[in-house]
Amino acid sequence: MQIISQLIINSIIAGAIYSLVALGFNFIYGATKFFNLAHGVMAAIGGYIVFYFGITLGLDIYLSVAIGVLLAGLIGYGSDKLVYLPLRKRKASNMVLLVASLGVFTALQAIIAILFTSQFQVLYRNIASQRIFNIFGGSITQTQSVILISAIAVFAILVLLLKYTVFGKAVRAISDDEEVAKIVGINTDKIIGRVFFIGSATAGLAGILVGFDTGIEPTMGLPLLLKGVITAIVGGIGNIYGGVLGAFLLGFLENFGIWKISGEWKDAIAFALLILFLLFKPQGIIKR
Amino acid sequence: MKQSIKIIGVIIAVAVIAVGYFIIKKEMASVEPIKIGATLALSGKYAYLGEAQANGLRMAIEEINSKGGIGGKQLVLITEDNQGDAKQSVSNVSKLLNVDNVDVMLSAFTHITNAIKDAVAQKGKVMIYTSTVRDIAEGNPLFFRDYYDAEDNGRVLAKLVRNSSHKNIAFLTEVSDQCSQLEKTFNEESAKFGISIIKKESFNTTETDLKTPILKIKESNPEAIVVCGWRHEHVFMKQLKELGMIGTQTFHWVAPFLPVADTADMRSIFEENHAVSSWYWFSESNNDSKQKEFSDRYQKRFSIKPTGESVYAYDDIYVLAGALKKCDADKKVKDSNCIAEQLLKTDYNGAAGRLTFTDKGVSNRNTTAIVVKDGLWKETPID
Repeated sequence: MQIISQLIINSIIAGAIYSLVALGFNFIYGATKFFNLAHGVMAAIGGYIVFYFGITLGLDIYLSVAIGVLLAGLIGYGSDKLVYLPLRKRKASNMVLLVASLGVFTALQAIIAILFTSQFQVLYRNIASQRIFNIFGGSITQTQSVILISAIAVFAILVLLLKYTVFGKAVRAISDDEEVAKIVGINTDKIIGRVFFIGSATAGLAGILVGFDTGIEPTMGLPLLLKGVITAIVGGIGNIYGGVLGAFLLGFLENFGIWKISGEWKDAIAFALLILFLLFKPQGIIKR
Repeated sequence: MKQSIKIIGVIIAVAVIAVGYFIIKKEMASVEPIKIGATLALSGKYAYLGEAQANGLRMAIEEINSKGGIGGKQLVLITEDNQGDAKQSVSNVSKLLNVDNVDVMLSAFTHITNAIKDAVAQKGKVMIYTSTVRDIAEGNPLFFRDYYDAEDNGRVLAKLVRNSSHKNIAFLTEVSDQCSQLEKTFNEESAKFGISIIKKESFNTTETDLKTPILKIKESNPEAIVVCGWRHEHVFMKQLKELGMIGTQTFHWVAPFLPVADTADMRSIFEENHAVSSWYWFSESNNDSKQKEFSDRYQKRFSIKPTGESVYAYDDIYVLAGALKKCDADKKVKDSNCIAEQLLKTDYNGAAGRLTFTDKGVSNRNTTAIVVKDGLWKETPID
């Protein structure tokens, strides 16, 4: 019973991390219709900002986290204003935007490595003092609980935002048809900018929480991005409900999968799931 | 008559110029520096290792040059930054070999050395590399490996498990060449001591979530866990604690290798779990005067503490210098075969201890074992 409980908890924690990445990714995709590869580096940015303010400068850790989330959001917003918006104005294709986002990803990752070196860093200070909770015989740390709660909270906030706010309605309108949204008077550039801010802030939060759980390094964005993209596609690209479903499905499949076979097959399991869905259910679990 | 004098004059002039040219060329050759090329990770993830190596190389070369070099020839170090990337190292080495025309090559890391070995072999140059893998050296008589050895570490870990009287253990390993080699010799040696591996789990080198593999190990209820994953020690020990497995003794391959795994926090977990680690150079508790003297000089020169990489690099230059001096006496200072032949005869008492090479160019560096006591890594006996 203890083993199964722990396995389920491991799966839920993994699913929660993936869903944080997928939520932001899907939120941006929903509005812009392109795969923003720079989404992954926003996670690293969030982590490193907390490292700088909280560990290097010794500021209050909660304040550092707030700064990290905010700055990740601002950098995402900045990348839209400086790179993607000019391209959209020139009617650039989604392929061009994808390549541009890869450029943003690479450039920002390189800057992080230059500023902070490529050494692995951790955000936690004292392993011995971390609180561990027992749930039906399984263990979950305080940080992992925060990851789970954050994933649920971000999901709830995005759902409420999209459903009940004017901004959310504008996002949905742009998602349906950007041209028509412009015609009816929606300032699509402004709304998309805010979408990038929120999506990137979410990615930043994911990176910060991963940093507290396992650590940060400049290249941490790519594996997170890949898992986020897989869950987004599996769940239903552009659909935040689907992204969360896909994330927990992946978390469970990976952990239960490597329970049966060796741990080195974890990534293979993830990509096998992606290929299966692309072949047999490309619209994902939940259609847009 | 006048024409004959002119012709004789021209001939004499040409002869003087020719003799002068050859004399000057011979003079230049006799003082031409000996170029040592090094492809090192001076930036990127492994920069702290690459910089340490570069410092050790520079310190040794400065000392040798200040004493007259090799028969009057200065040693010149030409470094290229490979950023820890194999592809980058290939272009580094192309430049070092074809543009800089280095006489000897130095390299580090298995993936880097594997990427460049063919280019170096094609140019017939001697290469000294630091990597836990010996087969690159064993495959070429001009290649020499000076570093701690993955296979030797496997044997040492088996002895350490035997010393703690554990019989049923779990083995957790990253998927890599080094760990395959370590696992092979660990299995062979532990079989001699009646140690059974009741569970083996592996993970990819990029993985940071080891909870489920650790959980599988927990289910098998081993007496101890042997870990081969130098990149993951900080993650492994943290997650071991989270899953309530502190108390199951762990045996590690170079546990404090990365700075993130050698913090005060990490040491306290290692100490709490009575963790034992193989190690590859002197520990903080070592009082060897030669090592201490090297450490003091290094810190004075570079304002940081040396690592194993710096002291090995330092010794390698002295060993190379010894070989070059002997070849220089035979006017073969740039002859790779002569250099290799002399290196094989090495018996050097360096800053990191005695250094000799096997007939296949593999060094004999001792593997030690360390444990944390009162917050410091201290040596513990193996046999």
